[in-house]
Amino acid sequence: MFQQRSEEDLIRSARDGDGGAFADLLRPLYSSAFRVALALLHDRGEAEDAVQEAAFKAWRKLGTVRRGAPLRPWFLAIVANQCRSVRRKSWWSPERLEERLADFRVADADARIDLHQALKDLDYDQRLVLVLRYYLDLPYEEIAQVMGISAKAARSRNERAIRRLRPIFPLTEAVI
Amino acid sequence: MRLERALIDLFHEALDAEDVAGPFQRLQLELEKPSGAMYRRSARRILMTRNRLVLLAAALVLIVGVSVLVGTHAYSGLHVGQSAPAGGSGKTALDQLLARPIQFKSIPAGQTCPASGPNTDGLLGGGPVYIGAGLTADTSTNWGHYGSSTLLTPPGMVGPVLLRATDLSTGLPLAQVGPYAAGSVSGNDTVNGAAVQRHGYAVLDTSHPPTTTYDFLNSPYVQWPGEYGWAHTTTGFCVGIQIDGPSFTELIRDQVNPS
Repeated sequence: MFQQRSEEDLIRSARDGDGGAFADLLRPLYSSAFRVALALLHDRGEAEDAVQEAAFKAWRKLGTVRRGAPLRPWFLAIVANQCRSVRRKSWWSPERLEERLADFRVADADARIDLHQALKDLDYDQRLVLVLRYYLDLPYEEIAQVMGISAKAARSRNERAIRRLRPIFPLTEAVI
Repeated sequence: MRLERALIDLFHEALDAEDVAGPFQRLQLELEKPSGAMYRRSARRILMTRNRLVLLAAALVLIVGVSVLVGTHAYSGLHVGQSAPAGGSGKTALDQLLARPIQFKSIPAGQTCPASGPNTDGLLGGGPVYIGAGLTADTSTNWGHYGSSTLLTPPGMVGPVLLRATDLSTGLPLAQVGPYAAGSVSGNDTVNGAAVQRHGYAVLDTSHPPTTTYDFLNSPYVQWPGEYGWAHTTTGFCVGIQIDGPSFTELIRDQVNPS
């Protein structure tokens, strides 16, 4: 008969050192994790390294996952922390980030939105909450788990980030 | 609300098209390396991250270059031996193929699949390897669907051929379940009463080809049965098939329709 390995079975095998089982656990999470890292770091190579580093940390920490707890917020939290660490270490990142952000410039004919302008003044946590909320479409409860804060704090952090963005979208606001 | 809608659009526009299949496969290869304890592997990986690899590669190129210059000078009076065949053979050659990145970009869901056009024989590819067009599900299980598609290699081909198939909408690899499936096992299933294991890629060992041939381009091309698996889908998807050989890389796209 068909035998699909359950998440619990994969976790058990991964804890025993089975890399294939751990890769299977990460498979459905990887796309989100990589793109969040890319949104935070703006560099494919750094994003790939950060998620890889996070994956190995996650493997070592697998024993700390509560039975039945969802893996996505747990893994995204490790990725987000790794990205934060990468940005701290990169003393050259402000200049480099500006270069990279230029690649993300998006010209919207209607609203004249410029992602570069929109994101450049945000701090790391504000950028993270926006990516989790508006790219991954996570509920505040899950954002809270990723960021290690309460759901209420996640909501207010999102609102603060949105308030900071409003002046950068004058034309957008004008048409509301 | 318009600002929030704009953010959603901007993030998706900036990020959706990014290829994730290549990075995931590289991570998978790192995770599945068989030898060494996890911590030792982790420590080694920290030393071998992508950026450091670039520096290491530059240093190696420099060392090799200097060595070649010194060696050429020291042995200029000697005959050089016969060079190794292109691509080498065995595991080293396969490792080199596996190290090549997946070159496909993601195709957002709903976007038309820019499928490669089949030739008159209903085959996809620009050679030297060709693959049957129109991958469709032959059978289904609780896990997903399985379908087959024949591969053709020219007679007398030398060196391993690596085949990696990716769902371009999710960036995730299709499972390989045929006789040439290779790499670590990602899952088990029972298909039409037979136990099968799902793998991440397929490898054709051209030094041991099957005996079945197909007359194509006035030559008896070797036929290799290829079998694929993919998780349940109701929408169909665009599959990207990257075929790497010692001296070539072929990129083929094909629409997989829901069964």
